[in-house]
Amino acid sequence: MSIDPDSRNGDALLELSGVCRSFGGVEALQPTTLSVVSGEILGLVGENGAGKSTLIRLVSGVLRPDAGEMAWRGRPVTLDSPRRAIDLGIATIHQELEYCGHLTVAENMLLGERWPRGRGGWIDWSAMQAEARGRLERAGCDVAVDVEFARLSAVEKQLVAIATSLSRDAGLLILDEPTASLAAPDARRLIDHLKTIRESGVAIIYVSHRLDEVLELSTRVAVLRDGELVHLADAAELDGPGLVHEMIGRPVQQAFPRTRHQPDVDHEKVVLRVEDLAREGMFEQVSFQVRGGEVVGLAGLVGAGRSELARAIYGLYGVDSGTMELLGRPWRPRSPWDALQAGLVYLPEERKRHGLVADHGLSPSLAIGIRDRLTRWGLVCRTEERRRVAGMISAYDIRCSGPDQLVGTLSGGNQQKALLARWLERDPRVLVLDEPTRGVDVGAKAEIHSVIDRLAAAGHGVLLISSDLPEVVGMSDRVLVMSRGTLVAELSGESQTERDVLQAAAGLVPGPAGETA
Amino acid sequence: MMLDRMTAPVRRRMAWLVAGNVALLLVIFSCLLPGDTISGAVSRLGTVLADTPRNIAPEMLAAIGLTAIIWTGAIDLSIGSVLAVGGAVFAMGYSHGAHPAICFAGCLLAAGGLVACNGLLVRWLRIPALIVTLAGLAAYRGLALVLVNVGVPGFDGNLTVPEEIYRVPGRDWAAWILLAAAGSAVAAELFFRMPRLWLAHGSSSAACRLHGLDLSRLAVSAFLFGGFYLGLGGVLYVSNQQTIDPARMALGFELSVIAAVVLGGTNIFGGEGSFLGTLLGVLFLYLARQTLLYALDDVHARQAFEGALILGVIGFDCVLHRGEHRMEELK
Repeated sequence: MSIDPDSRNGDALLELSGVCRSFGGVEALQPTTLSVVSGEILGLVGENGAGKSTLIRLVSGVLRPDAGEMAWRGRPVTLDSPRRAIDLGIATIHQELEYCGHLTVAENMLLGERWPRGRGGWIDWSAMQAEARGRLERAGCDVAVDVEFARLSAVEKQLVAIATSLSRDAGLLILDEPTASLAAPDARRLIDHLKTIRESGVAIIYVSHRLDEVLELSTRVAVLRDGELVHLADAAELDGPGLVHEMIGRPVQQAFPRTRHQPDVDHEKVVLRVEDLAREGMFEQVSFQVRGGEVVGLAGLVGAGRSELARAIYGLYGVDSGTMELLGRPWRPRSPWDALQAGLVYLPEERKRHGLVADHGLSPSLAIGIRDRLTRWGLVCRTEERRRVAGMISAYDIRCSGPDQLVGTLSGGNQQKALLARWLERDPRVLVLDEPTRGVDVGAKAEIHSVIDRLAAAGHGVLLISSDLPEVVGMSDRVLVMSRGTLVAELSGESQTERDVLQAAAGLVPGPAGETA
Repeated sequence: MMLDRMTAPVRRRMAWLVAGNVALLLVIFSCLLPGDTISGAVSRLGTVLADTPRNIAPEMLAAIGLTAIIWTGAIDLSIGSVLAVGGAVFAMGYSHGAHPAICFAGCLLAAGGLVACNGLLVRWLRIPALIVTLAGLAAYRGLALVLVNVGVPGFDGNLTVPEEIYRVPGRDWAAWILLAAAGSAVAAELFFRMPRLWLAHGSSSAACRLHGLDLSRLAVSAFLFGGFYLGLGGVLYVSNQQTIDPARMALGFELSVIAAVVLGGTNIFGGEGSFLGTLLGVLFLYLARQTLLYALDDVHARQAFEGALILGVIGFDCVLHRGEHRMEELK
């Protein structure tokens, strides 16, 4: 297939014609024809494994297509390396930013370029910092350039990455899940920033599972399903449920499936009690309790201390003061192993770094959670292991080629389901779930929500940490809000709204609807 | 300005080392005091300090070279054996009556070339530097012995070099060579892009690749730089010896150099460190050895104390900032 010059959109920046790519016989992206026009934001959505990443990697020069053609500003191009894509003006900002944490912001921004030189060919550091500062200012970012990159907040890293791309005269910016790790205000800041960029004529391909963002930002939305471009329409013609339907090919219950249970004796029992818990620099004077059958939401901005609190409860590090009770007994964990044995599990925020070993098979990854129960006299019972693993894969509908498939090759949603399955197999009484649906597609998200609901119905206590406001409000019986290491509000009933959670998280006292406290 | 670009752990380690070096000097001075006047002890301390550049120059130069390699996330475990090959080439030249300059050039080229060769092997074979240089550790020692057996007429295990002229660089010029080479390395770190790119490579090779940097070229350039400095160190090392014995020459040298580099704050997995820290690390180890020389008679006890001291300094630093490390891991 070739690009017909006459059929080209005169403003088309990037045109793909019949571009496809397979991996080991599996067609990750079927022949796709698509164009991106200057000044537009093209939303790209689809379930995990739909082919979005493959498309992005082809356009950014990381992969080469098996067939098809690409044209950039009307001229056929071969994107055979990331360098080639960058030189053309295609900048990709991946979901997990790659940066040199120990180098300064300025050095990271100019990493692949010539650095300003002074007399004798020596680096002119002042000029370099001024250059980086200028680029950030032009992109509307206010970030110090002389600090270590690793010390920036998540949103600052995203903003610097965008400013870096724009400074290289990028005509097309590809953003892969840029708000996945951002709290609501930071995500809003980024979205507003992208709107400004669009007005300058830069085209953006915006990949996200957050459909409200996609619909708000995009000019057009492209939907991929099973490697095929199944729908391409103006965003104005789409709505959330319709988009979900296109993505997974069937209607999905998007509303949170939370069933509020009638209180009974077992469900009323406090399973986790935290009193005046404090750890210097992380959180202070935190008190709350979680009852059996209850989902308690823990909301707040990034850096509010939610994850740190969760890790302290799980025994990843000690506390300076305060007391905890787990299932009615004093709780002072010395390690996560204590927590697991006592019936408390923790689903970490970053599943790839802290939850899974990507190059391990699914079977050992699932079995490791119940290793102690599969072992007798130091020997693992393989028959029992296979039986339990098969049961977990089936019960949690983990889509895989088999128990030997590498965990790293599973989609995000299935990785998360595997993590959940691993811990739930221990039949814990208390679950601390840190961003359980981050980066997973809408179908897997609904399944995880169902699992949480079933757990609560069965009398488990759940502490649900989430930056996804609709989720934390919709799934929780009540919501605790943290700000700067302290609990600032407990919301339930009619006051449990996204608006009130956001206000409390931002340090404002929640007031009646329509008022700003 | 240089300190601004160093990470907090590196700055902290350097501060520890400065304090540690001063403390060791005071301990040495207090060891010299008994049975002597203050001015006499000061004079003897001056002699110790005057000998310091000559004694530490080979290790310092090798450590600078190894630091650059480690910054990229690689390592070279074969540097002791590489020095032995340098010594063998020097011995061959000497035994054939070559001019000292040719002997030294041969030593420099052999040692530097082998380190650069390690870099190329890592690049071409795509085998981790640890494996390549571990193999080199044995292979180069064997090569050194083969060279002297074949190239030195009547070689009987070692070769004595009585002529003073062959010892000029290591004895008379060591301080100046060290000053120039170490100064150049620090200046390069301060004012040139390449050292920062080596650090970038070690910090995140994926980020470097996405920015269009050629990782192979970066890695090889670090090995070339390391090779030059190790070759220079080799010249000073060889010319500071009266006998060349390739079987025992620079045995354990790599461990001592790696210890000094890590002591100086360089992250053994790459991406973090400074040449200045490395220099302070080498000095610290040297002064510690001198102190132990005065304090303990038993050579084995001195070795044990030296190891304990390295562990103590790094361990103390880590324990003091354990919480910080944990937070870094969980970020």
